[in-house]
Amino acid sequence: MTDERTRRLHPGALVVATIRGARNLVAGVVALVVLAAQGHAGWALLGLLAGIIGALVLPWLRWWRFTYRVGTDALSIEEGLLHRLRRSVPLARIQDISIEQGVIARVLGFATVKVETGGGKADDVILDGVGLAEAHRLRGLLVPGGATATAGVETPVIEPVFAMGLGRVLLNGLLSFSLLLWIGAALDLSRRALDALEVDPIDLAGEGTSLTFALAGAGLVLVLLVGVAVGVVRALLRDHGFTLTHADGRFRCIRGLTPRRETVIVDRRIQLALVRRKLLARLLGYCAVDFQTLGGSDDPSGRQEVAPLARDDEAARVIAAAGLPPFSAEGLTRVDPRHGARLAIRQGAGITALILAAAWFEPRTLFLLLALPILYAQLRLSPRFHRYALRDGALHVAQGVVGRREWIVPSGSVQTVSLSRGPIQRLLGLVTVSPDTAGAQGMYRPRIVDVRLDAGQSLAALLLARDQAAGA
Amino acid sequence: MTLAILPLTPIEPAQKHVFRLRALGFWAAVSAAAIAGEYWFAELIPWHGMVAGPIGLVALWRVLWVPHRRWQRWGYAFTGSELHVVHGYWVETYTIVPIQRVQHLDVVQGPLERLFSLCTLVLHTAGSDANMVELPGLKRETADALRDAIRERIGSGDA
Repeated sequence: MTDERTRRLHPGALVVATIRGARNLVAGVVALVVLAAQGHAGWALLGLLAGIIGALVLPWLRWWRFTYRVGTDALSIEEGLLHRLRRSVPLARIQDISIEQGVIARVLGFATVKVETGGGKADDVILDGVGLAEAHRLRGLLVPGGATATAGVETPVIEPVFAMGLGRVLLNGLLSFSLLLWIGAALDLSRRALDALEVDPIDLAGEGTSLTFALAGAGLVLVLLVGVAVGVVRALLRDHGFTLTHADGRFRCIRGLTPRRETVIVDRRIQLALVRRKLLARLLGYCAVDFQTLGGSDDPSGRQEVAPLARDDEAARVIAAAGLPPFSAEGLTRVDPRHGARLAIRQGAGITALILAAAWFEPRTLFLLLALPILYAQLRLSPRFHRYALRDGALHVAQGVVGRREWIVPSGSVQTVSLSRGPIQRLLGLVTVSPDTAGAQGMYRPRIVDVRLDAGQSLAALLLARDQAAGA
Repeated sequence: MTLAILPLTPIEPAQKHVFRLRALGFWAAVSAAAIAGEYWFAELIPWHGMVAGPIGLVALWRVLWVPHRRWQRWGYAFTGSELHVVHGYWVETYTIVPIQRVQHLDVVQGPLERLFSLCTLVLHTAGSDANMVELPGLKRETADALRDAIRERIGSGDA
């Protein structure tokens, strides 16, 4: 790495930016001409001046302010007119470099270089416009060896880690329908049926309307049946012939009738395992397993379902194949018993206030208050099911009363640890411990909510101490 | 009792002026909108200041009182292998970033920060919720020194 000069981007990028600016200016000029025609020539001239500065001068200044330099240990970038940014990307962190060329760029002989650092897409560094030779020089400098990992073409016949037969797929379809959703849909449909018959449901009890009742009941049953059928068909299309194999450090998951999809999950991109136990499946002794993965150039990022409906021993086999320690509910530490009280205060108070506010306008909503004891019981029970432990080089977290979730987070995949607390927690001396991992999306994070402050502090320190031992 | 695991360094006192000016800009605009709204819809409001009054009080509180508190809650510690950052007035958050996990670093300076010669150090990790950890209110020398120390640590490390 000999050449450490500070460089600017290719002048061709300026041409593209100017063209883009001029295009925006055209629309503005039309508006200004109208303004001038109405006799506001002075304002129009001022607007034109501002437009020219915005569209033509600013890109030039921006180009002039943008410099980069490849040092011995980092790629440094400086940019910004008012809001100045100096970014340094350690060379050790650069994962990949992509070179792209648009039409104008091709004519003018420059390219856009994207530097991927393994963070999110938004974190990637973009050099919009360097000479083609410079782009290749950068690639040579920044990606030593240019590690080429090509996916294997061969598909040896191997014993699957997990597979679902037809019966299991159908059962999953039966279980996957959401009870609340279908009750809602059924109520809605029966109401429409009543509307169509021009019957007011309030009057139903009064007159001899056993026919309407029968119709509504039949409608409800029909909707439920259709709902279940739809769930089963969808499961069949999505999961038919579900097969998960593991070889050469990667999982291969093949599933679905049409389209038949194949997902590849590289072992070392697996950040954590999540075992989900929904109420119905749990009562029948089943669970689902997800892996959270960090995306690469070709790999998907986020949560990948690797076992939609599995017995406990099957789930354990999948988790073991990924090289993760097994989850065991035994020996976990409970969070503070006041966790339930805090949730009850926080969520219960809010929901009660909401219902009372609604009752102000519509007294009949008061019957929703009947549901509060159920919510309250669930919240009060939550500390019993929210447990954690740090063992076998991984953080184990269990959470949830009705639907339960269990996380296995190898300490090597913990990026940062945060302790946080709101006003109620401060009063009670409790904190929430949030280990942050790569590729997390959607709901459900392996947070430990409401442990005593000292326990939270020592857990955070321990998590990172293990991490440093694992990373060294 | 605080969340801090280590003794923390406070950020530069001038940062509270940055917080204050930012709050001033925002709340001046909101108050102006509230006052304009009251004149516009004067006939709909029983008495003057019914909307603008409370908003004005909140604005005063946010501009005069909160910036100092927010500044007080910020703190950091660099151990050589970890950066600890704490902040938050209503919800406190204490974040520990292992240097080995840092993907890249920014030193950022907005126009208001330039007025007081302050910088913000931003650590990017591969994480999801805390993938950007910001530490405002640093002198440029401090920010640069921290950045260089962290970069050196990553460069020499076996990450």
